[in-house]
Amino acid sequence: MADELLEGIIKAFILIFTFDPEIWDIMFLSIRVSGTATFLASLIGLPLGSYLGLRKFRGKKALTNLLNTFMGFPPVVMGLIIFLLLSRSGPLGELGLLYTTTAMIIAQLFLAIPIVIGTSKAAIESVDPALKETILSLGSKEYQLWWELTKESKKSIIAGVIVAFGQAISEVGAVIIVGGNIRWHTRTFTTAIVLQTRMGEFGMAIALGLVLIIITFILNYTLTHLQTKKD
Amino acid sequence: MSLIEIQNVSKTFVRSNELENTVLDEVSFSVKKGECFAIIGPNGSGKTTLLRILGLLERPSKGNILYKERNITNLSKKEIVAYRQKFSFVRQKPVVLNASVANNIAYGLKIREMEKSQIISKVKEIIELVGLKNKANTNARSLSGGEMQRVVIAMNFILSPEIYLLDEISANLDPKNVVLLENFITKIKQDKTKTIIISTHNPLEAIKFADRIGVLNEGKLIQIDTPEKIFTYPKDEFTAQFVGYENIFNGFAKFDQKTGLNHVKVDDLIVYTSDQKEGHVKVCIRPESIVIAKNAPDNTSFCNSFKGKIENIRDLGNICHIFIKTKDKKFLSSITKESSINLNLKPESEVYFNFKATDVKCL
Amino acid sequence: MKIKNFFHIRNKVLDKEEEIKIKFNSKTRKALIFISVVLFTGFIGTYTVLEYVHSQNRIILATTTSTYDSGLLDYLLPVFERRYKITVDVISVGTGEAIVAGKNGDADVLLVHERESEDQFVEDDYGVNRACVMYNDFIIIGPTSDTAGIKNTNITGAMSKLKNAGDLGKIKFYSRGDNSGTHIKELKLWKLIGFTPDPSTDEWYYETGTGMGDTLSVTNNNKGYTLIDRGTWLSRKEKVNLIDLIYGGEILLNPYGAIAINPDKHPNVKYDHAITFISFLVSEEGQELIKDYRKEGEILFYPCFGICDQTHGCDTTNEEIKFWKNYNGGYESPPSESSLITKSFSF
Repeated sequence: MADELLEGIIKAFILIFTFDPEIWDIMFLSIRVSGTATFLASLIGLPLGSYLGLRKFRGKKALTNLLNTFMGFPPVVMGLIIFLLLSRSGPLGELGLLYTTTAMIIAQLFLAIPIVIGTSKAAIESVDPALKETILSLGSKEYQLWWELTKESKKSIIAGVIVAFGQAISEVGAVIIVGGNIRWHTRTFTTAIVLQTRMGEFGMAIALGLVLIIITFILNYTLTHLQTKKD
Repeated sequence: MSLIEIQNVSKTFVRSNELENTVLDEVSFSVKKGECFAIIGPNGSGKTTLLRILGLLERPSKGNILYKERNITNLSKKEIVAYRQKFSFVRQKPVVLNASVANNIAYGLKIREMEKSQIISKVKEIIELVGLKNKANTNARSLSGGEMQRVVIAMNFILSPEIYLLDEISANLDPKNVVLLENFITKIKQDKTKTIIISTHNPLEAIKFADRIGVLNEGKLIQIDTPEKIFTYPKDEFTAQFVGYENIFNGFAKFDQKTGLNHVKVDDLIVYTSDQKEGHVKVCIRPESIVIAKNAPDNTSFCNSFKGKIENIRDLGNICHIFIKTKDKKFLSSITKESSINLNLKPESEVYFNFKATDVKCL
Repeated sequence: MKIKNFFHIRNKVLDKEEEIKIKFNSKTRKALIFISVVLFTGFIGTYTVLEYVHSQNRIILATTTSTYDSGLLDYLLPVFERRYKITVDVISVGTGEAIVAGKNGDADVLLVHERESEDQFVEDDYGVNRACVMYNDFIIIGPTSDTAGIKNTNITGAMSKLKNAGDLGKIKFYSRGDNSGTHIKELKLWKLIGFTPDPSTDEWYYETGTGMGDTLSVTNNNKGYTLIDRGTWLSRKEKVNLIDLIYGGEILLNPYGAIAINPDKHPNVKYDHAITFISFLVSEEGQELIKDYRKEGEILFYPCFGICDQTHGCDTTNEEIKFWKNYNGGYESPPSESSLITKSFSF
C-alpha cells in the first residue's frame, strides 16, 4: 500500500504541474458552484441576518434556535430533499434540473444561507450596544444605523461568508446526489475524489485532494487573519 | 412653557426569573429653555436611566415625557428619529466610530445629508475648537480617554442640538481634561437658547453650573431646588450627607426662652440652633462651620463651644480635616492648613471647637 | 465672528498643515459596487443559460459503478459523441438507483446487468426496446493462502466450503450488500447451497454497502473473500494481495442490457437519441470497440448482440434481434467469437 501511495503522490505532482485539463475543469467547476452558492447566499442572507440582528421582536430566541439548527443541517439530507424535489417524478420535475450544476448550486445555497444569516446576525448583535445607541442618538435613521453597524462588524461578517464557502466546497453528499458526478459537467473536487478512490486511481485522487487542501488552507488563513487582526 | 418635562416616570427592569428592579420611582420635573439642570445622586441612584429616558433611548415603564407640552413618550420609530435630532446624549465612557476623528465629527452631519462643502467647513471649525486639529485624520479609537471624549463632544456640538444631555461625562477623566470639559459647558451656557441637563455624583460640579438641581436617591427625586437652597436647606439626611454635611447627630429639640434659641439635647451635649424645629431632630453641622481654638473663647458669638481631643488630622493640601472626639461623639472640622499650623495641632491635643447657632441645621 | 479656541490651548503648529480628509459615499463607489454585482449576476446567468442549453441536448445514461469504473464508457462515448453529435452524460450509481432513475424519468437510457430487474422494468412499461449488448463474468477471489481451500472446486462446492470455513471462524466474506447486479448474483450463488446469508447472525459475512472498488479494498485489507466482476479485477489485481480462485461456468456470466426509457411514460426523455445510442452499442462499430477495450492486455467485455442465447442462455428474442438489426444494417456479432468465449468458460 505504501508504494501505491508514493506512486500516487508522484502522479499527483505530474498532473498538477502539467496542468492536466481534467483537474482544471474540476477546479473551475467546484469554485464556480460553491462560489455561486455562497454569493447568492450572501446576497440574500447578509441583509436578512443583519436586519434580524438589529431588531428586537417576540420569538427572537426561538428563531435564533431554529437558525442554529439549520446551520448544522446535514448536507446529505439536504441533497436528498433537493433530489426528491427536482426528480422528474417530483414536484419540480418539469424544470429538468436534476444532474445539473444548477441543482448543485441550489443544494449548497440552502446549506449556506443559514450559515450566512446566522453569522451576520451574531456579528451585528455583538457590536457594543453603547455604539448602537450613540449612532441612534446622533439622529440616524434605521438604514443608516444598519450600515454603520455592518461596517463595524464587517470582519465577522466576512468570516461568516468564508466559513459558508468552506463548507460548500468541502461538501460531498448533496452534490453527488443531485449532480450525478458526471464527467466534465457535474464533477467537483470532492465527488471526483470519491470516484477516483473507488476506482483505485490514487494519483488523481491525491492530486485533487492536495489542491483542495491548498484552497481550504488559504481560506482558513484569511479567516484567522481576519479574526485576530487588531482594529 | 417648559421645554422638556417628565411626569411621574417610573422605570422597572425585569430580569430573567422574574427579578424586578425598580430604578426610577415616580420622578417628575420640568426644565425650561436655556436652563442648566443638574441631577445629582450616588452611583446606582438611577441618574443614567433618567437621562436615557430623556434622550429617548429608553422607554419609561410608567409616566410621560413632554416636549414643548407635546407627549413624546410613545412615538413610532420614525418620529423618534426626528426628536432625537434635537437632543444630544454624551455618555460617561466615550464611544466613537471606527474612523478618523474628522469622519467621526462629520458623521452627524452626513446622516442629515448636509451639503458636502458645508460639512467640511463645519468640521474644520469644530476640530479647531476642541483642540484636535493635529489628530484630524487619526483613527478616533486610538486616542486617549480625554481626547476621545472631546471627539464625542465635537460630534454632538456640531449638530447644534436644542438640549444637551451629559451623563457624568467627567467621571472618568483626569483633572486636566475635566477642566477642558468644564470650559466647554461654560461655552454652551453662554448661548441662552441651549438647554443642558447634566448628571453627576459630584455635588460641587452641580453647584458650579446648574441653575437648578434635582437630588435623586434610589430612584426617587427627593428635592428640586436652586443650588443654594439645596445646600442650605437639604430636605433629608441623605441629601444633607450627600451635599457635605458630615456632622449629623440625633437629638431632641426644645425652645429655650432664656436664650431665644432652640436647644437640642444630643446625649450629653447641648447644641444651640437657630432652627425652629422641635422634637426628635437630626442635627447637621458643616465641617467648614466648626472653628478650632486652643483656649475657650471669650466672646459669645459662638453659642456652641465644646472641648475635645484631636483624634486624627488629615492633610488635604490647602485644607486640613480635623477629627475631634468628645466623650462619645466625633466631630469633623475643616480648616485651612495655615490655621492648623498656627494652632500647632497634633493628635491627642486638647482643643476647643466652636460653631454658631446659625450654622446648625435641624432635620 | 471670531472663533475663539475653547480650551485656551495653543495648537501645535506643524511644519505642514495636514489636510483634513472626510470620506463621503461617492457616486463612483456606489457605481463600482453596482457594476460588480451586475457582473457576478451576469456570470451566473450566463452559465445557467449555457447549462440549460446543454441539458436540453444531452441524454443521461444511468449505469452501474462497476461498469463505469471499468473505463469502458470513457473509451466508447467520445466516438459516439463525435459521430452523432449527441452528448451522453453518465451517472454511475448502484443498479437499484439506476433502475429507479429510469422509472422516474431522470435518465434517458439504462445500461445495467441484472436481467430479472431489466425484464421487470420492460414488463412494467418503464422501458422499451431492450438490447443485449455485452457480457463479462464474475470471479470469486480470496487470500493467497486460500484458507477455505476452494481452488479447483466447482461452484457449488466452493460456496459450501466458504460457508463452512466461515462458520468455523476461519474466513471472512465481503458482500456488496447494495442490491447491485454483483450483489444479486452473489445471493444467487449462495442459493445454490440453499443458504441466505444474514450479516447479523453470520459473523463472518460482511456487507460493505459500497461499490466494487471500495469492497475490493476492504476485502484486500482484511484478507477476505469476495465476488468481483472481471472488469474491476483486471484493473486492480496487480495492486492487491488476492488471487482469483473460482471462475467460469454459465452461472458466473454477467450479461449487460441497454434499455431506452419509455417516452409514453415520460414524454421528456429524448427517446430518439436514446435509441441512436443503443443502436450504436449493438452496431458493428460499437461491438468492435467493446471487444477492443482492454485492461492489462485482457478483454474486459465480450460483445454478444444477437448471439447471447447461444453463448450463455440469455433470453434474447428474435424480435429484439430483428429490431436492432434494422437499425444497424443487419449486423450481428460474429459467432466465431462465441465459441472462443464458451471455451474459456467451460468448467
